[in-house]
Amino acid sequence: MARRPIELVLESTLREVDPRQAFMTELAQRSLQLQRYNWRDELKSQSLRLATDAVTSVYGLSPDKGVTFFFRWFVSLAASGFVGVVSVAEALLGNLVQRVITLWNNFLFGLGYEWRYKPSSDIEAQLIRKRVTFPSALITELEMEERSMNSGQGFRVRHASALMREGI
Amino acid sequence: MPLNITLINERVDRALSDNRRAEYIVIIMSVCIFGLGVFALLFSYRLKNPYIAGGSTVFQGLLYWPIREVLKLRRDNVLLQAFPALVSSLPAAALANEIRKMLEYLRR
Repeated sequence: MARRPIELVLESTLREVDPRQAFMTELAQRSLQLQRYNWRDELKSQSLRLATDAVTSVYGLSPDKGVTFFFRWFVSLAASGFVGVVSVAEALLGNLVQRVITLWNNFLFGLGYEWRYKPSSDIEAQLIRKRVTFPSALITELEMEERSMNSGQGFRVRHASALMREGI
Repeated sequence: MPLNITLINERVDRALSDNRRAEYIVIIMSVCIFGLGVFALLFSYRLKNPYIAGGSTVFQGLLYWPIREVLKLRRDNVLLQAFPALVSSLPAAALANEIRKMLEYLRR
């Protein structure tokens, strides 16, 4: 484990002031590191031993083959488990997640849209505020008009007049 | 054996300069993370894609580690700046105790 610069300063000074205490501190630090590593190694070896015993007793395999078999089995189980968990979560929470995404979308982009887009008329402003969904036939008509006129302002005027004609 | 204060001061100065260098690196790294996150957020806003926006929010969460590291380095710097005064004012036994406590505190 790399030491921080401050630790190096303190350790070297402590070695000069009291070599015995410096040695004891170093020992305590090493022992702490060893304890941490031992704990992890112990957990790993114990779990591996238990799993190997289980596989060898159930399938009657030799320990070497048992370990290999265990790992294959474990990897496939983990993979299928992950897929299963994701599928169940998707089935249970899919709707919820979709709602959250929609809310987030409305919050972020809905707000931004109103802030960014300056409506050219009162009708347009009202429509944006009420979030009116346009009928597809009307949209097609508007698109055709826009293409023929090729002018933003004209589009807006016709847009408003077309909407009024439709009674929206 | 009497302590060589000049040598200790030199060590402290070296440690402080090492910390300053580390702090610069960490700050540059965190600025990059922040910049990339903001860029991703603006990009997602432009594309109107909530997935990228969510991803960039998670990406910004990575700032936790650089901020923690900067706080640690600043704490180290305060201790280092106070250390020469401690060395010159305390007797050897008390100083050894104090250093041991500081090491324990740092390694906690």
